[in-house]
Amino acid sequence: MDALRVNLKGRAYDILVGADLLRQAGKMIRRLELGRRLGLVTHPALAETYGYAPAVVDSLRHADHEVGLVTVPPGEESKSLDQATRLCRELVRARLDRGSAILALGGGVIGDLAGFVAATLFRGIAFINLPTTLLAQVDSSVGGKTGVNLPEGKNLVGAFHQPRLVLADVLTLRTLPEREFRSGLAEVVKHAMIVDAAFFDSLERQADRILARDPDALQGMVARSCAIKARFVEDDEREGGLRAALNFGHTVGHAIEAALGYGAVTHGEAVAHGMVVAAALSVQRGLCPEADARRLRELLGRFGLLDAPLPPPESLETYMVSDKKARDGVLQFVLTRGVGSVTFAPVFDREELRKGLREVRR
Amino acid sequence: MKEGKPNIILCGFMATGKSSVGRRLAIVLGYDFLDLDTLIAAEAGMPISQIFTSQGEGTFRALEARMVERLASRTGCVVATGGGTIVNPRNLEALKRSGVVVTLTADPDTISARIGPTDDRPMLWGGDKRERVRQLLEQRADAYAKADLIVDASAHTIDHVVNHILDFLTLHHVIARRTTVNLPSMAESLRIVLGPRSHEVIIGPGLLGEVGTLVKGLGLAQTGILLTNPDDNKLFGERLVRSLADAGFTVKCVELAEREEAKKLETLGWLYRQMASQRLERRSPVFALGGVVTGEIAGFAAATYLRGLPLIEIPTSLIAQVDTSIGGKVGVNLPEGKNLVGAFYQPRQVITDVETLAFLPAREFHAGLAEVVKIAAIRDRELFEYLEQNVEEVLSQDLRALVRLVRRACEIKASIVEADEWETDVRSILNFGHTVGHAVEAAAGYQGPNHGEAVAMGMVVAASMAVRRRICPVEALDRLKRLLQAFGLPTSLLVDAAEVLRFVRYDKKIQDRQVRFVLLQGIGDSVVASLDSLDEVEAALKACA
Repeated sequence: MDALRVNLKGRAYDILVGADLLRQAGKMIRRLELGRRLGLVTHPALAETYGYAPAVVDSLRHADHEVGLVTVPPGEESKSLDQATRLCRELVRARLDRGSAILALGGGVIGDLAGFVAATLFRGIAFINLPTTLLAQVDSSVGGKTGVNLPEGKNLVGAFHQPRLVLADVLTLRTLPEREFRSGLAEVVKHAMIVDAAFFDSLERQADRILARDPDALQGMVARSCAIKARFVEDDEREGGLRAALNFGHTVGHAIEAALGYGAVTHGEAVAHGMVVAAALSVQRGLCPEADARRLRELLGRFGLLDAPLPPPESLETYMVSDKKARDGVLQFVLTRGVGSVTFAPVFDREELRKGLREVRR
Repeated sequence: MKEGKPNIILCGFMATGKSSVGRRLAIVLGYDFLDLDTLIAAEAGMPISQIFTSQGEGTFRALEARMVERLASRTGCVVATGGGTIVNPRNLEALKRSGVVVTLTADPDTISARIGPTDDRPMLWGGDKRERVRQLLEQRADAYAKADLIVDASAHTIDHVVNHILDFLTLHHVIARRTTVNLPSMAESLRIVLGPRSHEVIIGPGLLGEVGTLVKGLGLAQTGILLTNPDDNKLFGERLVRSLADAGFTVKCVELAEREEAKKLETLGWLYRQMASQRLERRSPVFALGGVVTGEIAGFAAATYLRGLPLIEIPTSLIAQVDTSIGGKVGVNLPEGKNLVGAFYQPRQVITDVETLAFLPAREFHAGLAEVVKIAAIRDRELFEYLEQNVEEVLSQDLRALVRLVRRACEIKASIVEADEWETDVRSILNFGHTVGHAVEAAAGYQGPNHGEAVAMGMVVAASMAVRRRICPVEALDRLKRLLQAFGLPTSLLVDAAEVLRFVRYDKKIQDRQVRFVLLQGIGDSVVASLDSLDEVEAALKACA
């Protein structure tokens, strides 16, 4: 098991990464000295098909906790105020109190929704995250952002609420659909690419074991990736600082998702292509050695992230320029100086941008 | 230190935000803002960079020292110095004599990023800029460390840095916790010290027409939303909106019902969609104009929309002014119970216009006085005595008396909240009279006594319990009863004692079979006790029936 401490002003917490952690949840949670009653939020498949929820409940009962289990239908539609209201009511009826904790067992949707409920029920109670998807383990479980969607837009309602503990059980990744698993790998590659060349090397070396979902390889990868994200979160309030590096690949990535309609490509596939474009722009400017851009493209290719059919460059350009972050048509880009290093630069020149965008079709 | 107000001197490396922070501080404190480099350039009649090129650093430093001497003889100024000013120990000494020296620090990366590619910084001429920044920081580290306060400006927004400095100055009595600076006549401003969530509560008559001016320095976006209710909107909306418009703010007005039944998540769902149609951004202000319910709903909406928008509270009922606008408790009810969903969310500013109280029905005004009596009883004998001696003035709403009692009640509540923002221990003394009070309200099906009346009964019950325990003199109970009666509040239980007891049992504060009860030990003195059984409560309830 790998343990990682996230230090936030006055509120530090641990992220534990390992195999078969769900069965040890009770033991780990007992140390937090919470109240006796806990609420577990998950979705039906995790409760019924894979047996993850029963494993957690058993483990908690052994640790002398009483658990109220509430399920939420899978899918982004569940990140709604209606579901949050329903959860609050059910958890109160399960007799949770100010000393209780809410546990989220699932992917990003469950984490965001249950986290929001924990942030507001009784004006805020303890939150414990048990992420079961790769994206949730390496990305959304670190940072304390919780919330729900409105019909008018995503994540419009929410709160910052840091978890008391995160348990990332890598065995849960073995039951993840292939495409979803690979999608999560894009964020892992991004983390390595922006700050950690040695991590990038190890991803290249271990690509086969990772794709075979070898628990040891997964554990090392998730732990390292979380550590990188956590470092940025610790710097959370820094203005105009390094945090923007996490947007590497996202400027073009968002445009791809928007152009194809959400759901046509995975977030990871879109970001992977975005990283390829950013690297190409960096090479054109002489910032990044060509070899490093090639390594990035090859690793993403091995992870099967560059196979999706893409929209024509012209349409991407339109989406990017209309993005609200593009000030006066100038796009703020996160570029790379090579594997493990980022830099920030505005892109003014449309021809330069077009040249970069053509890379995604190569 | 000279007579008068000490200067606040900001030191630190270039690009740490000395000017932005200094300007903001000067506005808040009502001080003059002076920028040392600007003064030097004016004296020399040329830009700093030109002094360096034409006459060299030596001439610049000599000029600088002369200007420092001149500054040190002034008072009541916020001064932004140059990055190298206090490297000269004589400059540092002179500045320290004239006031408080604060260093803003930042790491080399942040500084380099903020400076960008400009060339008007002579100290960075020659060589790699980033490396030069690092070197200079190292050379100056010792000098910077000699300040009275060091604030890391790289990790925080300007607001946080300003708040941090103001907290320090308040806690060290360099500035008063209360000021009347830059405020309309009779108004007072009270600072709530909560670190990054620190803010001002401004209390006075006629403030509704000044809201636009009062919020101007807060860095708010020009477009926001005004959440209110039909009654308050009719009485005060127009004046408020005009004041905001004069200061350049455009607000969309949304009305909620000022009724307990409106405090539910469904109302928020509707409200969020109203907000979504306004294209609000992170700095867009939410103005909450109204009583307790409006404040709690609007506050929760502000706390959760876009993960938190700046909230400006403009309370119009006495309970809202003396109690709920302080402390950041916001939220709504569930069908399963009251106040089950919410947040601790501090406003960016509270603007309390005591003249709005003239429009309050007498019964509600009296209910608010119950909370004032409560806060005096648990913590402040002086306020209690003031109330006893000024019953007439209070009841006839003499403006001076109102400003004084609202301000004092806020001040005491603030000191309790500052010690325990998240209600883990001492904050619970604010529940004096509330354990029984809530039960009284519930036992009457929320159709009988209002909140203040119920709390009045609850205080009498809790005080009688304390007398029976012999921890409180009987005179204190008598004085409490007399004062409540003078304010038209009930002092005996007007609801069935057995029913009340039943609801005390179900109170959500019952944890692990122990009931926490706030007991009076005398006027201005209280203690929290855990009860193993409810026998005592039952006896006291019967005695007060």
